[in-house]
Amino acid sequence: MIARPLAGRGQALLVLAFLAPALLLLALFVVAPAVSAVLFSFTDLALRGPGALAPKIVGLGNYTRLFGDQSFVDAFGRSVSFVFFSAIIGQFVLGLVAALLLARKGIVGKGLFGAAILMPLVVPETVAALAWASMYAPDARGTLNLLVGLVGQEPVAWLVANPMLAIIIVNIWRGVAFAMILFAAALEGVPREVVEAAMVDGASAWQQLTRITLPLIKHAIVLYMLLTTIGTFTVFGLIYFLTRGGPGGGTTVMSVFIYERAFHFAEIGLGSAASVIMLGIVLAIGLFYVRALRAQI
Amino acid sequence: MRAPKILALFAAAVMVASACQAAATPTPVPATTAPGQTTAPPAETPTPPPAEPITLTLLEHQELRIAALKKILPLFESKMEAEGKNVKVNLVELVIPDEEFRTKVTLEYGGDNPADITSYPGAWVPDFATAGYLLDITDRLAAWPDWEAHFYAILRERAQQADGKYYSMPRHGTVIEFFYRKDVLDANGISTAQPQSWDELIQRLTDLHAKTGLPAVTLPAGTTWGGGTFDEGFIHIFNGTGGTLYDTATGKWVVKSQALTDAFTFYATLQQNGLLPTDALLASEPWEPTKYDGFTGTLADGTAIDIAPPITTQGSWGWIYDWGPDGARPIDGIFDKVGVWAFPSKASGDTFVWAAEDWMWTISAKSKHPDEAFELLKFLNTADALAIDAAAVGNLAPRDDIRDVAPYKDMWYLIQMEELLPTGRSFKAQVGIDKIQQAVGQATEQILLGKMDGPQAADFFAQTATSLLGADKVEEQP
Repeated sequence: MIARPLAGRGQALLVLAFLAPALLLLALFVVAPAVSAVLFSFTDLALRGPGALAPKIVGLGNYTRLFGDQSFVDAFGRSVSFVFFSAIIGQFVLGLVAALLLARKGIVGKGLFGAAILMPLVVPETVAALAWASMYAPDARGTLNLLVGLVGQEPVAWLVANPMLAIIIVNIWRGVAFAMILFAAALEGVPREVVEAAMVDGASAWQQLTRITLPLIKHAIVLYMLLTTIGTFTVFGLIYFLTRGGPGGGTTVMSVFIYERAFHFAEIGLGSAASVIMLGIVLAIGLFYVRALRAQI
Repeated sequence: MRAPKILALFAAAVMVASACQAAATPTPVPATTAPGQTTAPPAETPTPPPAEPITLTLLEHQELRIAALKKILPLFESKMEAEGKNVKVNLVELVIPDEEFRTKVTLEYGGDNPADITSYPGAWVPDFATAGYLLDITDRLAAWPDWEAHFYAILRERAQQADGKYYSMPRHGTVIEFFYRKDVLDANGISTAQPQSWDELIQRLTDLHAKTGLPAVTLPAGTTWGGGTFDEGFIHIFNGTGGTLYDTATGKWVVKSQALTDAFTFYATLQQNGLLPTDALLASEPWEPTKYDGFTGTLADGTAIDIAPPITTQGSWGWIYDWGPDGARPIDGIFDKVGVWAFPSKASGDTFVWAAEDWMWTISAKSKHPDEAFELLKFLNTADALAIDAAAVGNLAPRDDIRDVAPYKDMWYLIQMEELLPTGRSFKAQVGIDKIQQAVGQATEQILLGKMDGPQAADFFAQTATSLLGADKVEEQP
């Protein structure tokens, strides 16, 4: 006996019923706060001071103030650097290399290697930050300083000497596992016979990688870029725990800037405006990548 | 090609969700307290009949103060009982750092059920008062004879807000000065006489540095010290310039002036000559390597190190809270080894100490028992309670009539400092002080990093303060 498919309207209702719980949660916890942020961004709402007692509508005042504020522009620039060097360059390259190594036959200790790379992903963010705070500790007892001490070097205040590089390294360490997993899965899908045919035709290892493997996993690469760009733009905890945006504002990326304005100084209106700008940037990046993905189809 | 299509849909969904999360801010709690409510006369407040049990909540976040309150609050409950009132106090202990406590209190005030009473630095009061979070206690204070008769005028004046009303009462007084290690200065042949000017102080620090090769003075700077950079460092330098930081006539912050440039230049001079513990000040908890390790010459594990810097800005609480026998890092024989100087000014002969409240007591505007809460504040400021509370952390009595009450009367070093309260100098916090503190922290941090000299740091301060406060709330002066 064959089950009769539901009529069009009945099927639509059934789909809606199944989707309803997820849609409700999304509406409550994602859409509503985002809409609130947009509305607040047109006010001088605050948690302390006169703006808490009688918030006023200020139109585009918060946006005008932000675009004329050099510290906001600087924070945006730092965010772009942070995303480019830690996610697009660091995590992507190292993740791809790790995935390629794991895909090779005859490599000894693959399991151990894979587990070692995976570990940063399963460590909670606060624990990761604490671990790196210990690594970067400025006195002679810091892990990195113990290492440089072995070669007779004086202790270095790593988070002061080059704070942006320090947090980029931490973010690469934390994100490389995700890249490796995604690329490893994509590499599984590369037909073996195509690679072997290239080898028979005399293609070098580099040619096999650049002309066979990478084009065949392009969709995974674009997807990874989408996820990591958005994810890295919104990194807050690691940076705040390690440097609190300092020293000298040197690691105040947009997420830290928003936190400081919205919560440290309790200016919800201004913080919301900065959030909305960041939302716009992230959406634009997302749309760019989605278009790129469509181009692959 | 089906798989990539599904992938694209999945990617789009993730992108939207992630982007929305990035922009989401928690819904702020709207201010529900109208100005009228904060000024409601006591008679209109819903006070239950005396026989009914009343529980007040008191929020406290420092351990030594909690310990003192545990001794004091039962005395209040007994007093209430003797008067036929059934009033209990629930002491809410929340031991967290000051900045976290500020966030916690902000969120509590915005909610429906904040603690009836709490205390915090006086600099926080303007922001909370103008938000309508605090009960106006002007009439209650006026009706309390002790307020006018015994509280130091400087503390009463500081408690009065810009609208002329009182929303807080001083918990203690404090005096901040330079504390120095007599033993170290004597050993290096450096005079321990009061320095009369910035130049004289810098010369003495330079001589000390030349002999020890170590940093000579802890002057809080940078962002990691939080509000302490301003409260325990910058303002004492700025107060020696004769400049104005807040223009009461226009209600604007002065972000650019010669006095500000002078103050930042003072910092830069210290930094450029190796007199500041630069690396320690940039550390995550800068008071540890400076006021604790450096000033005591002992690490937390008991290891002896060089005493450096042997001079630091410090409040009266240093005698007990930081270096007393039960303090964070005791100094044996502290009264033989440690001395104090007033702050010198840029001009010679104009020395001064910082004199102000330590913290302020406040009552929430949403308190259901404002009369009983004010009774508790009065009790906390009576002789016996105050003597316990002030002595616990090494603060000064905010009133002039408890010098013969134990255990305070035995602390001659606190009483000596209390005598300086009427003649000290201070700066009265205004709305936006937290942003000025942040701007000072960032500007002094640029000096510590060696990236800016005094005038550059002054320009950076002006730019940062303007960014944080908004251009309509700042002005320049010659």
